[in-house]
Amino acid sequence: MVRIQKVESFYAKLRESATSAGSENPLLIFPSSSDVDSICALKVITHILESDSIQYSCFPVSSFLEIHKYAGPGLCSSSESPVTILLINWGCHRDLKLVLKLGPKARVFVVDSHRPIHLHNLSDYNERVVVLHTDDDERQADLAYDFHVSKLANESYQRGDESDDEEEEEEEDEEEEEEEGDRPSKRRKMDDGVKLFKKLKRDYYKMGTFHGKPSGCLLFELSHFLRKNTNELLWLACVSLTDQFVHERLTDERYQAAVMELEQHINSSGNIDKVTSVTLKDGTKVRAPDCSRISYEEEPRLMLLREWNLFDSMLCSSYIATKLKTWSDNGIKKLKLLLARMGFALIECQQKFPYMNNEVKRKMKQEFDRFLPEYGLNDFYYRSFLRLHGYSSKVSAADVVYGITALLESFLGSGGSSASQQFGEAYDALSLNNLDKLQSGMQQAIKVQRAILRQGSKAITKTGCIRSGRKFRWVKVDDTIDAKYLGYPQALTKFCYFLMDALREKGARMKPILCACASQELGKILVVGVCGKPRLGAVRGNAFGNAFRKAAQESRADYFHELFESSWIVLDASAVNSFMIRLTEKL
Amino acid sequence: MMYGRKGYQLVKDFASGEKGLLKPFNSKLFDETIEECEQNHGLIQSLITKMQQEGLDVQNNRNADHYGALVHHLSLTRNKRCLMAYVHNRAEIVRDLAWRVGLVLLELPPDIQEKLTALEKDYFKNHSKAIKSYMGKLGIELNVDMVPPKDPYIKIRVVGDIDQGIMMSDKTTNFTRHSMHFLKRTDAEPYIARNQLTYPPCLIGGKI
Repeated sequence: MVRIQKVESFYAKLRESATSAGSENPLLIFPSSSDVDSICALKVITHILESDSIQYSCFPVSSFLEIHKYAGPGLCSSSESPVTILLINWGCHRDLKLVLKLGPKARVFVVDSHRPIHLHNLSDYNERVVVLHTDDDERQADLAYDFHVSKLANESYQRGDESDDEEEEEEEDEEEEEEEGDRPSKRRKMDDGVKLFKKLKRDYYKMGTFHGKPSGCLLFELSHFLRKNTNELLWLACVSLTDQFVHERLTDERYQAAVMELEQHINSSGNIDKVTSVTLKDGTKVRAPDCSRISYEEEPRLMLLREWNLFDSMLCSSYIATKLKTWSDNGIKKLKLLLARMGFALIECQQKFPYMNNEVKRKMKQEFDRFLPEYGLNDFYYRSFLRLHGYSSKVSAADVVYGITALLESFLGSGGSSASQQFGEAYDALSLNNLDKLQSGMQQAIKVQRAILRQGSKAITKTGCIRSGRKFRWVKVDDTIDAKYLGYPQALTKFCYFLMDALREKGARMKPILCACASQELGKILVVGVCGKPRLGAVRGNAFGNAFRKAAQESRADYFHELFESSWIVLDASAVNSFMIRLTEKL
Repeated sequence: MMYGRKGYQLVKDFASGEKGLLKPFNSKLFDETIEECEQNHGLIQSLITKMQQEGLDVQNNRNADHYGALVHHLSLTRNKRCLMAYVHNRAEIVRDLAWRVGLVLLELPPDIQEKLTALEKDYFKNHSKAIKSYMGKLGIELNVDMVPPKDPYIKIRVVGDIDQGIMMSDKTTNFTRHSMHFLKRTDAEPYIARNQLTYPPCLIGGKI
């Protein structure tokens, strides 16, 4: 019942529930305001809902409990009228029935790429929560488990509504028991079934967090199946996928596979043989403008190149900056030398990209491919998507992700613009008619990246800035000005990846990294943990989630762990040190 | 001084605004135009009195004074036409407001109310009253959107504060700021006219 394996049956159920008689509320949609994927998914699903004339209300949220502000009493109370809710890109890693205090008439539908999914949400007996988790997605997941998850889920649910804490305690008991179990004399008589169940459950949650198929792509499949797909929706799917790619949420293999799938869709939606020239009556040929065509091409790992200039983009993009150490004099020399060897005049490279010499643009790929391997940069070009519009407008999917993320992450604390307002800005910027909004987002992303480079190089070059523990490193951003750019989860995540890459170049052993930075709320610190890029066949994902909660509970500090990624937490400024000490003990 | 200039400026002032939108009533220029008319009138009078004093036949004598009076007369009528045009075109917009935005003066957006003069406000009230009594007699609401909608539903975003929420015909929901909704067009229309809601821009182009 509750895990739905096909997108189309998920939608059929959603539709049935939303249009059922007696409902006083329209369908309530709660998209996460923390990532670009959720905006894309929202745009796709609302397109489908609109074509079916299903009324809805949509409230962007950024933490679990915010939903109660908008949902009205029908969600928790046992009122007569049924409520249907759709969560986009959040929610499935916590026991929703418990956390949201769902009433008997409430029904929650979840499209979310966060993994692992809480077992209670997957159980067939929990009819109030319906999760979309396709077979394909389970098979292709970055982390594999070889047991039947739905059986486990049912068992777990039937054993009653244990809270998360109890589960964790149980986990610990289990470990002790196992140690004892090594001595056969002391082995207690224990039902094998129960034991196996507990072991599997522990294994399941111990995988740590990772991500499944992007929600935007899943819902695009739905629109394709219902024959409601348009080129516009296809582009949103491309952006969704690129969002996971840019924020290192999927393995290279899965990215490649998904790219190929989307390329096929691009080919079959008439993007290849679009008319490029028109012949007038008198025989003259005129170039026709592109009318929003999608193409796929090899793109360099240079962020926001088309909005910036070649030199600065190379200087600041994490991929090149960490290799060449462009923050040092020596690094800049290397960079200039590289450009000189490729035969590009420095003054051309510092020209805004649209005005850069065409010769340079043409030769770029060839020259990069020739020289970059010398610096150990072997996969500088990667397959990506471009959106062409009009005569000259060309945006790459990655740049859209940078721009939109920057728009999402530029809300200010109390008094300033709220997260939901920024969600609206980002929503607008994602449509073609609003290129100038997107551009302002891209300019903001450039500022964020410069802050990453500034703070990253400072942390790397100043000894003692990055503290190293047994299992992880941690660093605190003290600069109050740059904290304005970095005090957001995704920006801080990018900062963590920058540091990891830079440390790898220095020859340091790879360890997960934690980053703390003043958040937009006064006196609060945002902590983000990153475990490295997902790899195929890895044993575990991001293990910070559980540890964060336990450490925060033990340090008895005020904490806020309701953000949509369990490896994000907000703490009181004074509690950070004791939190770190506890965390060292946990990991 | 160029005769008729003030009237010309007044009409220009109206025409420079966006089509269908009101600018504040330009009472300075309006009064100056009337002033100019009075000057013209005074000059005609003095020229005619002069001719009469000289014992000439005002009707048939074609001397310099006669043509002088004629120029003043033409300038005067031209200014009057401009004044009428100014008032008439504004009145058209005011009537249009009653049809499109709403029949109650105090429910008009405050920035529009500020642009109306007291006389125009009276005109608006009377026109509304006339529409209302006419609609009452017919039993049909005539002030809904004239163009039949392509879609009975509409997608909107809340940009202003709507404390009391929107009265929806069959559902209830929370119209908090920045939330987006897909609802019956008829429920949302009055709020859109008052600038409390916008269409998400993507809908204008008919695209997602």
